[in-house]
Amino acid sequence: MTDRKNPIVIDAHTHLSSGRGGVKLTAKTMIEKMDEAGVDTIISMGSGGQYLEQLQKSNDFNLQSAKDYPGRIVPFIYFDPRYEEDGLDEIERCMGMAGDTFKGIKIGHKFAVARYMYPMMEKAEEYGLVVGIHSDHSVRGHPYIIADLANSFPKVTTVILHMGGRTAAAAEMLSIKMAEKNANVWLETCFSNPYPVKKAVEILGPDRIMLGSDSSNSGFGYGSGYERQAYEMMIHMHTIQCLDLPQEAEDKLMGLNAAKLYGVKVKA
Amino acid sequence: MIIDVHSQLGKHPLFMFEQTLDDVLTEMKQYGIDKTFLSSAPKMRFKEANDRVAEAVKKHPDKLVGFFNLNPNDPEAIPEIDRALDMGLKGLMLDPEFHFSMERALTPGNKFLPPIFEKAVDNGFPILICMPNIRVGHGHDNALLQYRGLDELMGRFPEVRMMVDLFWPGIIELCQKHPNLYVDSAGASAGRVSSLVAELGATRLLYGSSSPRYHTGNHKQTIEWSKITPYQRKLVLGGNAERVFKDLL
Repeated sequence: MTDRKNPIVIDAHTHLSSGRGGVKLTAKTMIEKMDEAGVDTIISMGSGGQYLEQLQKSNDFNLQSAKDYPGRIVPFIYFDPRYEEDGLDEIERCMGMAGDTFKGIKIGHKFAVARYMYPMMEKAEEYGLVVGIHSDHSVRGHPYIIADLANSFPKVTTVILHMGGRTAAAAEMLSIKMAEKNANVWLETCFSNPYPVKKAVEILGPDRIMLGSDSSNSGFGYGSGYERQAYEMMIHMHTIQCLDLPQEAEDKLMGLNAAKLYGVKVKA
Repeated sequence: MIIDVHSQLGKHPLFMFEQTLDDVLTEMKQYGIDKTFLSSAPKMRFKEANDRVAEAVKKHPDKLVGFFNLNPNDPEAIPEIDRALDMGLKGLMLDPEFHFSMERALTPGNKFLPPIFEKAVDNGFPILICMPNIRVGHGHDNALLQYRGLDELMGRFPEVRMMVDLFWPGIIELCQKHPNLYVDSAGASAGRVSSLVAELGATRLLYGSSSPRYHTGNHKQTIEWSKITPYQRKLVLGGNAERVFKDLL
């Protein structure tokens, strides 16, 4: 692993939440974590909700955080297909509120096969939004399913979050195959492993792969196992850094690709 | 001493994973690994694969401890144990998922495994069971079979030192019941490392990278950054393996 400086480091998969377990949370915690880890900007997927008002509040919080920390936070709209038409209306509401700020739509666990994914993709195409979908080895989140959806909407950039994700070797490798077959499919690396990431660079080239950590501002979940909160981001940066890629390729994975996709300004 | 108890040489027949001896040695040097337990990637032609591991160990006896691989269904499996031991290999790596089918793994209670365990008792070699997809799609019934199979096998052969994946169903309970059962850390997140140490104590978890499936340095870093004490970290990264497998080192 080399001690390099990248032009920009963007963590393309994080979650900001306004509260958890009765504890009020702020974006400041995330900014502190980013500063310690050396992350310039995050793509925040928000945190969804278990009832409609909670989902709306989550999207509002995500937007407000981006306004509070311009240049540091790029927000997504959290879409939950269980809400059917209300979920689509929520995309409309967010775009009406801040169409120039929201850059994408996030879909969480187990929903890649949901009926409302198709109308959601139509909305994404209409507004020029990126779509990020959780992936794993299961039939409800498999890279094959996501790529099939992306294949029906070739104008929508679709990110396979986790690129198949750690649980099954086959799913990680197949995410690469899916991106090879579909030019609008991108990969995000969190919870994948160095070897598949390296293979992805070899097979696809370095232009459609982005660093991600799945970090949150809550300190719960995966982050709770680390001695310091920043390590949750840094271990995923290490996944890319330990590959000893050519500098240009590493720069792209660490941030330049995400900057280009989401329109984040890179300082000269 | 930093010991990686699980690394695989060669090309996996199903996945795109491949690791050369040079890869293993380079990463050991880069990440400060003193010893690596090396087996072949699982193979149907396991004899040739074992030959390659034996050759690697002969070249680097100070760095590598060789494990052999078997297809438990193959009639040549039992005779291969003696041949492998004669070649200087010191442990067995089984991938029951690969050698049965990728859909349904050979459960530890299966009839093919006890004769192999009898040889392990007679010769004192440890067994590493590698099930890289154990978290995936086996369903509740199969998880129960895995749990019961390992429970029965450890009960019948308490002398055998055994390492299994940390995602094994009921791993905490199994370790509490069977003192010779150890957990290979391969694939663990920091959260999983710290929770296993909290639940089991630090003496049963062994740093195993399962490289190239996972990465030697990246996984070591995960353990170094996990929320456990420096003493616990020292045990996981090598102290435990040094104590449990001192006859192999």
